[in-house]
Amino acid sequence: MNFLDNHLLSLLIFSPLAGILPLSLVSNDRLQRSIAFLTTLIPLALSLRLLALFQGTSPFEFQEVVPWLPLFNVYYRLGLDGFSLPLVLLTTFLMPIIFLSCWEEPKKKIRQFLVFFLLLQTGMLGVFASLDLFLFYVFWEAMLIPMYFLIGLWGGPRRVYAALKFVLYTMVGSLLMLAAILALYSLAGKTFNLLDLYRLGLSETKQLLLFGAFALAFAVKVPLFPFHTWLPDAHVEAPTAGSVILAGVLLKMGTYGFVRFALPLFPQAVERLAPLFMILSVIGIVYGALVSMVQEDMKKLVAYSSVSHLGFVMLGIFSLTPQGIAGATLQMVNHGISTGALFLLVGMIYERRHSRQIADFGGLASSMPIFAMLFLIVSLSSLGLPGTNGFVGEFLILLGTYKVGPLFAAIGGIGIIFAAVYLLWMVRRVFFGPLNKKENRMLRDLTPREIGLLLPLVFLIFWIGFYPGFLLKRMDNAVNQLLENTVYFSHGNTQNN
Amino acid sequence: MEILKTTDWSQLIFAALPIWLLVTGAILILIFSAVAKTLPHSIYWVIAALLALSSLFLVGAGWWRMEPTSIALLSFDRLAFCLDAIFLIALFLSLFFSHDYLKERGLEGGEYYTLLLLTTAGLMLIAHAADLLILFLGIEIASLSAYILAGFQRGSVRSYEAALKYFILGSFASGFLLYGIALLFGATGSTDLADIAKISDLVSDSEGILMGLGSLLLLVGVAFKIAAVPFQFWSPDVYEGAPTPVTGLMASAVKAGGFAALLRLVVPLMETLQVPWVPIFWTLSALTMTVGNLMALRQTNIKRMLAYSSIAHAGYALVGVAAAFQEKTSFETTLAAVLFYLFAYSFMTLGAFGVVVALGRGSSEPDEISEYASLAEKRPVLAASLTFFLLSLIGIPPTIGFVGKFYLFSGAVQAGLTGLVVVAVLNSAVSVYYYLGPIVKMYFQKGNPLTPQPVSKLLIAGLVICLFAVLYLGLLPTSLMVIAQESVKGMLF
Repeated sequence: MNFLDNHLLSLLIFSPLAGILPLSLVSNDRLQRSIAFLTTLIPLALSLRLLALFQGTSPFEFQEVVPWLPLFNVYYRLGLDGFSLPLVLLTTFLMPIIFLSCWEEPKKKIRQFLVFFLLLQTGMLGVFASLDLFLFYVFWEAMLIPMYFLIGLWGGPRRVYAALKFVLYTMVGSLLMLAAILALYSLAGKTFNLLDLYRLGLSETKQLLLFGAFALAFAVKVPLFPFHTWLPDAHVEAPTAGSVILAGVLLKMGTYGFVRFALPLFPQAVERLAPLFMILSVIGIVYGALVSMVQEDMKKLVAYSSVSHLGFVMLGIFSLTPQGIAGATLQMVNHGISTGALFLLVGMIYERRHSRQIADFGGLASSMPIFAMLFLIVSLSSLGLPGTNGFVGEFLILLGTYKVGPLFAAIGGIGIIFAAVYLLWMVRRVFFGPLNKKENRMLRDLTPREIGLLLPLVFLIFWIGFYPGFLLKRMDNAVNQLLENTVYFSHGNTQNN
Repeated sequence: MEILKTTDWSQLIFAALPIWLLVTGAILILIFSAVAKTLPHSIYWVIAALLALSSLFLVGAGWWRMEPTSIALLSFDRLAFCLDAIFLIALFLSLFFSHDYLKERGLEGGEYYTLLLLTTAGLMLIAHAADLLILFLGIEIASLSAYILAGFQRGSVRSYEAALKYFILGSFASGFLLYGIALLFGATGSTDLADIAKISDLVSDSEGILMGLGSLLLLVGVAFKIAAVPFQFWSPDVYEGAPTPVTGLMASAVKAGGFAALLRLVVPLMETLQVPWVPIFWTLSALTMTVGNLMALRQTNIKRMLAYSSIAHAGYALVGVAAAFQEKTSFETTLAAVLFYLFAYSFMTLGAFGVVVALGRGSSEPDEISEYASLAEKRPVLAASLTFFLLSLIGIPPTIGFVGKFYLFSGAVQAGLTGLVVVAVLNSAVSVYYYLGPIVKMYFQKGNPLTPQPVSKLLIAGLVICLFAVLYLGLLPTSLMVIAQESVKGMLF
């Protein structure tokens, strides 16, 4: 047990790869899906062990340090804190659900499909656990390729375009980040150790330049308005499982990047630019919501709603208040759960009807009551109804934002109302009213498997909604550390300046 | 000549044994193929491969012995041996790709191997040159053999055109080189590189101008050889027309040879001359990668695409050269980065050309990228290999291409050339687009797939070596980096 606990993070990161060899040996389709599913239970179990052992007191727990490229002071350095733990859990939790969801689809090249997902999981976990900038960059980039293939091979009709756009946008951002990482390395006296870099006092001009490069990479990934245009394409063309992982985890890499790297490394620049980022965030909130409202396609609607929801997360982060940042971190998890569930639901209806046009449906509640109920619950959590997870996150974010910019909080509030409009409007048009299309009459309600994979998500929606303290408590220390590290933050300690 | 009398010939022959092996082997093969016409083609292949291997072994031993000596016109230091290793590895891999290629096209014969061995011997001479004349001799031996190799595809107009173009423009480059050498000799009275470095402190103003002019002309000649912009025009046509295994050798070994000439020439001259080396290399590098990448975007032929991308990669390597000249304190590490990159680039580009060879059938080669449609279904392993090589060329971790670029760019950042690094990084982003092109075709698009053709075991072996190097050295590059660093130690005198 000791060895296991000492290398828990490494085991977690690379455990998804354990499934690749057995996958390549069997040819039975069903068997392959089961193997992949069972494989993802290993990281899930390991991450639960992490959760059990997590103290939430020291800055980074479960640290592992091994020299990798000694010539460059590159270390294989892992660690976990209150920001990364929830996201690691989100990742390990969503993966089995995703594999359950694609039990029927896709039909072709199933082995590659599963392998790409497992590779992707290793990349994502690696990003969240890296404490060495070089290692982080390696995972960050390595993740691109599986996602590229997932969109390009199993996506919709415009998949090639969407996949290319996804890669090009992300690459431009992350390559500039690479230049900034190199500059940071040379300024810090040749180290990639994040913990050392946190203590590096840079001049404001340098901070602004480097922050610019980091922020661009993360903003594209988030995606922050106006860098969001790749997202609807990628989301709509990706297969259901791809959309879930994209919305559920990949977008969080961007917001996580801000919290883990951009903020603590360049505090002065962040303070200077925070208003700009808050403005972009609220534009994203309102713009995403307005565009969602006019969508005819359910998947597109959910995709654009992500732009709006991630605007909230960004708003919370750049409020630079404890409430805002904690709320943002919680909301990252929430968005992963709720929007992931929405994509799953839209995927289920698409499998049955081969259409996602809202106009093609109506009165579905009478032919698919379970589906309708689950859809409604998830929609309500996505729009932030009290008692669901979304409420807690958005509340904390707006609370934090209000402290520094009441106007931003007010506009954010309007965004919540808009969210209610487009989500409930969609629910009404799809599920209520007369069941007047004869194709929809014979639609089969959810199978036990589908219900089974949605129920854990529904459970989480209410659990976080009623008992957010479980996660918030574990984030506390990390939030305080972040705000302490970034001593220049004016809020709360203006009297010192 | 004085030098011929004072040279210790036995010592020279022993030290230069790797080169001798190749040269004698080349001549023997030539004689055999003229006399014994019935000998099977494979015998020449075996001889050539054995020679390449034993030469590589000797080079490794020479590197390990670590006795930097200079005998007459040749110097035997670790840098030279390290460059030798690049040439020999590239030769060895090209041999793997050549065997069945020649057979399928009815080009069997000893001459091909003679020329391959001579090209490599010439390149090795460049690496060992301690004298401008040896440098020139090496360049000429390598170039002349490469001209003929480019036109080796009998009956193919494209191949003839490639050879002719290569020859004419290459001769221009040689002219520049020779003129530069003449000017340097005129100014200093010596062709010995170490002498020139020493004397150049003492020359008068007018001689200084002469030296500067001579160095610039030399630089033009070398820029031709590495296909740096604005001297790159020959390379896409030549790369496209030449037989594919030869193109692979040109992109890897011959290009590395150009860089060998650059290092041998410019390093001794850098301290003493009034030439603004850094701005020159800065501009050369920025232009080379930008033009290479932008032109590559428009290519529909995979060999032309790889040719332009090879121009771009020369630009990346020049980033390291510029950085080495900018910052003397990190001179050795940045130069080691260039050396590492030459290794990295050789492996990935040879691999890519290897796959192109594997897909060839008969006389008509499927060079159009559009013909690669749905290749992933017919040839999953080849498609996956090409994908890995292309991803490495982009510089996606964990491949050798990423480490190489990282190594180069980090040196440049430390030297303060942040602007150039930003240009290089943006260029890398542009390159994503065209490198993904073949991947899109192979995996995402349905098309008229190439008729599957059995791929020879030798070729597979070559590809496996490349693939292993690209992935293994991408994850654990330290050993190769140490070798590169050791090789450039003490270069600055």
